[in-house]
Amino acid sequence: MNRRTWLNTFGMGLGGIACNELLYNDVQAANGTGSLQNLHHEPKAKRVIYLFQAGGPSQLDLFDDKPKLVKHTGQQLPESVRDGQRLTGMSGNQSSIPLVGSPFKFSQHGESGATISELLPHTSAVSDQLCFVKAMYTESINHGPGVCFMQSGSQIPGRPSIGAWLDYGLGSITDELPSFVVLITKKKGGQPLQSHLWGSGFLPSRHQAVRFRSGSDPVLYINNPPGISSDNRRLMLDGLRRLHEHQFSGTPDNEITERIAHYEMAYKMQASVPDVTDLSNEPKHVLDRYGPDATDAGSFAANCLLARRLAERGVRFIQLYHQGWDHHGGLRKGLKKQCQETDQPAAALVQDLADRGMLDDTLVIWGGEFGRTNYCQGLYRAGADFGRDHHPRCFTSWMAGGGIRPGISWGKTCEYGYNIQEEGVHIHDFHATLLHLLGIDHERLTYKFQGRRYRLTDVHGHVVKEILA
Amino acid sequence: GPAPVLEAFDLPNRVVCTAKRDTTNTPLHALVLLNGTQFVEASRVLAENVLRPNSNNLSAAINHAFFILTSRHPDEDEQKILIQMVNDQHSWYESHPENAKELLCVGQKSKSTDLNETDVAALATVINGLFAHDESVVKR
Repeated sequence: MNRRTWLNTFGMGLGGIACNELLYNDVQAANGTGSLQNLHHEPKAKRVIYLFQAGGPSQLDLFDDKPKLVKHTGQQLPESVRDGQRLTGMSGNQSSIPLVGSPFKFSQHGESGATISELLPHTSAVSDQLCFVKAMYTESINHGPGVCFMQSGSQIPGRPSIGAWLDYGLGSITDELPSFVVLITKKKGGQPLQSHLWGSGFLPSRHQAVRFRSGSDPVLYINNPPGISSDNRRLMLDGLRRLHEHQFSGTPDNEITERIAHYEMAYKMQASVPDVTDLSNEPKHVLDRYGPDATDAGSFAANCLLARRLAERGVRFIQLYHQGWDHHGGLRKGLKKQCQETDQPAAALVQDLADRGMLDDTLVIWGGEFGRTNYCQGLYRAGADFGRDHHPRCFTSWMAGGGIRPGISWGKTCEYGYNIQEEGVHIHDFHATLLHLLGIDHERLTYKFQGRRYRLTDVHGHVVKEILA
Repeated sequence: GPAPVLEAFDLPNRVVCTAKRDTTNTPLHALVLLNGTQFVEASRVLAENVLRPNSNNLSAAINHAFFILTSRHPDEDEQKILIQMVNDQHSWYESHPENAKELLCVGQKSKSTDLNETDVAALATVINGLFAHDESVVKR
């Protein structure tokens, strides 16, 4: 026995003897449970599908109908409305800030009478399932900090993302697939996305997302190399595990046990990932519902369908990113295109989950990092295309399922669509509410780092009880 | 962009200053190390390179490979596990000779002609696993 082994076995007391027991428990704990031994209250949602619309979708042309803007199109934004608030760097230098009403028609839909523009016919058809939060607000004026704020609760990168917090607190539902998956629509331009948006921050790194690549090969090297079959690979992995366990008995470092767990996960992913991406057993009427892009791997529609399949197989937090909503110009044309890409699949996802009885415990979220201004960016010319700048002061998101009250609209903006009039919901409040739906008190899921306890909502946030079912 | 393999291994994103590179530990690493062409090819070539100096003795060869990859000799228990792994793979490839051939053609280096294919394939499969051994990838 060498000195290291002697010290580890005897110097650490019962450590060496009990090690085998501990080893198996650790591996199971790493797979099955999170840091919270018990939930703080009864959860409504088990999983989340977050359809993130990167760039800042224009709420004034999609969800927030402002007849006053239409009436005063071309006129200057009144000082009384603006009230000295700072303008953005991009449009702040404009000598003229003319209001622009939406060129799109709004109408009421469903039994709930939700107000939605003509650009979203499919979302309109499922609006009775949705809860529109019309007075979201943030402090971020630009995309980098803005998206970071929405994903991690802080404008400055370094904090864990929502999915990482959930994985840390709740653990995973299955050990066949990662519990936090990110899907990004392929071939979209616009504001870039960084991996810290789905990262683990200061939490243990296994809580970060696994980002599936956008396209036909979602995970690289999923297949065994030529010549190796799953049988003899399994044999080899069993042997490798024995080697690792032997190593652990001499060097009790938890990273080794995590590695064992990851190799098991990787082996399972070799079967589970091809299974989840194989659409051949998906009935045609379901594929049709998601629209023509449903079978185009890497499109938003295909990602929505994949999200449902991942949700069915126990993935807890599935985040989609769809870029291209940043309409500083060309809004008329650009917004139409964005809606064509996302309206039908998003609505199909909600309906599909409802049909499978999964909507009750799946929280679906649609939204971006901020809204857009009621005034025109650049010169306004009647009938021509136009743009809107960033507007953090008020914007709209919608949520469905997972314990959210369906068929309502919460919060109001002023008649100019510039300020919040009633019931503003800050990002921190949104996060608090999200955690609440999953059975977590946002003030009690914490992690000590650099001497103090952090949480997703930091020192802010109130659960918005009025939108809970 | 950067090689996807590097992204799996915490390539700094160059958006913010990275004073200390992340050392994550994810299932994606396993997939790269076990299935990545570069590693599979290296496994079979290393198998050939340890078979020859050890006069085709499988036990000596796998111990030699372990030493090359982890910078230490395997202890008695590990030697037992290693030769068991090699023997299991050897039996398997004996009944799947086409698989042995396929494995030995992975990558650009041409297959050796002087060595027994079953021997090389069996060793290569275990060495493939050793590339992913904690002590091969983590310096403690």
